[in-house]
Amino acid sequence: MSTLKLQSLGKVFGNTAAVEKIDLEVGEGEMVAFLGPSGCGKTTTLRMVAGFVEPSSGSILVGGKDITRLPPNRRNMGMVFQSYALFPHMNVSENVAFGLKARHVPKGEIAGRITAALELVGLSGYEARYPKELSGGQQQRVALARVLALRPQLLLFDEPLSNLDAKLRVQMRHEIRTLQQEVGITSLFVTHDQEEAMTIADRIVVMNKGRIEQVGPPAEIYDNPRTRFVADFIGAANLVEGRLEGDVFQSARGARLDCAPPDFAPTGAPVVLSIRPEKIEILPGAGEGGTPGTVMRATKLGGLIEYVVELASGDTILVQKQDRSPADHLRVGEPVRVSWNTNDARLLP
Amino acid sequence: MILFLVNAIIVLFLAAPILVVMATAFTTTGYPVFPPEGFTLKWFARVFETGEFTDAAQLSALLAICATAIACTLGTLTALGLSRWKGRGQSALSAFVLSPILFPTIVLGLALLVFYSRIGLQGSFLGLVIGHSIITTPFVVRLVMASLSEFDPAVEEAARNLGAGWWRTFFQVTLPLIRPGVLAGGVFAFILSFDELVVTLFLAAPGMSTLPMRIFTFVQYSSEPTISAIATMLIVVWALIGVPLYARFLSIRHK
Ligand SMILES: Nc1ncnc2c1ncn2[C@@H]1O[C@H](COP(=O)(O)OP(=O)(O)OP(=O)(O)O)[C@@H](O)[C@H]1O
Ligand SMILES: [Mg+2]
Repeated sequence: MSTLKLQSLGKVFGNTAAVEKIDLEVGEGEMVAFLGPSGCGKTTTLRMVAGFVEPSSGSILVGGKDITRLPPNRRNMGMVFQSYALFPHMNVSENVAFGLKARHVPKGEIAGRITAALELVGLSGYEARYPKELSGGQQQRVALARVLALRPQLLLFDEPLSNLDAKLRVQMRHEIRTLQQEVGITSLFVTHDQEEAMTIADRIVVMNKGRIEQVGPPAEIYDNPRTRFVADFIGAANLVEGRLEGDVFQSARGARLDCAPPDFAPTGAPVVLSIRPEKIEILPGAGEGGTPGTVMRATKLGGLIEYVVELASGDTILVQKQDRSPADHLRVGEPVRVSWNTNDARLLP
Repeated sequence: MILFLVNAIIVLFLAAPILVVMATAFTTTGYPVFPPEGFTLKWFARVFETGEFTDAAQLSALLAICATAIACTLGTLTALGLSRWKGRGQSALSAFVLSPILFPTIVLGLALLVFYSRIGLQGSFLGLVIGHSIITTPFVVRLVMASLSEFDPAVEEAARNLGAGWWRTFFQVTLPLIRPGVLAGGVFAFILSFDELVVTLFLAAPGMSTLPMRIFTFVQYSSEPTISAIATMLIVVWALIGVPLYARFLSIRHK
């Protein structure tokens, strides 16, 4: 059993609260990514789980057992560091052997476990190399083999890919995910790269200022953000300030825009309408249907075209469209209409 | 080319006095002259005649070994402590720990003498060992801190995470990685202690004589080239043991 449970876990450094009362349950074999801006407390949370930071409050349970006060060497967790943290004075197989010896794995078993772990990460034949003689990607694989050889209850990753170049990062991301699923180890993965979090995780924990903003599968986080912060932080979003007039959203500048009914009790306080740019339909000409506006800017972004449309009210809306044919291009200054499926426009408190 | 010339001049300036002293050890005259006149080994024999110099050398070596052991242990632990303590007084404390380097040794010698007289340590071997340790420890701290500054703290955390206790982490990970600093500090401490005169003069008992003290008193009363012979032997011993040690542990870093 290697489920993880964080119960109102908090950490205060001096007089700054790095992490405030985090509650989270991670299921057996699940990969959970911690995503958030710099300084939001991702690393601190992970280091509390690993035992390097003593929590100021709350508790950590692994498989139902409280391990909050256990020293890091008795936690049976494998951590992969951003700097790889290989032992520079040991070769690859000595690096992998270190943990096996520290945990008193029988001598006869060690060689086999090293071979198996290196095979798992595709580094057979590199046993005698020193860390300095390996590329960044290979070093991170050794770090991975080093923890996998121990068959830990939990894998902890702190931005393990951010020192690699973009292409390798994408490749390693998939390798880590595949390995994690093969071995079936419960994992936490800290990153500030949302694409990484989206592709690697079963669930994403979005953090901000030491608190959890939202927890959910990647698609839900993207399609159904529950707070302004999440809508703004994940992907691109149009966020229009305004208020609810009965059932209709009215922007601060006076535009009446279609939206899904709110899933919170309206209080009359200002709300925000959030809609993704790719969910918006844009039609040329000033005809029937949709909200009229004018194209202010058109930018080609690879396979996409991005339009900035100014509505009659003065609100600006960002729209993304697949760039299928130059015949469809809209010119700057052209009158257009924008519309969307009401369910894609969500109200946030 | 110019660089080579500059280097050659520097080496010449460093080496010339040493070579001159070595040459004068072989002169047949009753005082050192350069160039030496004739050739004799009698000054070398003279060194061993009375046993005064060999006894002094033995005392000096024993003292230096004890002081070096203490300096390496205390210095390494202090450096580790200082590098880990991120709190406020960090820089003040490290300045304090390193201050004996900046202290005039004559002041330190006097201070220790006064202090030792009060606690009854004056004239004892232990008192000398402590005095020499005070002088040499800061150098070890300095050198170990330098090697700690290029040390990734995550490596120690990785060791702990892999299941190693404090002990295993220190001896299998931390110590091997700061070893160049510790060894350099040790070599430094040994030379410093072996060479120390000022503080030792204050603290040694009347009958007690280290090699530098012995040499110092000898040259006050005599101008025999015996002294050149001692110097030559020290240089040779150092060249045979010290320099290779130094080169091995300092220049050739772990791969
Ligand atoms: N040892 C420490 N002492 C004091 N403050 C700390 C310490 N470690 C972290 N903090 C503070 O706690 C907050 C959270 O830091 P943390 O390292 O967890 O952020 P993070 O989300 O990992 O950020 P990043 O993406 O930049 O790595 C920050 O404000 C940081 O300054
Ligand atoms: Mg971090």
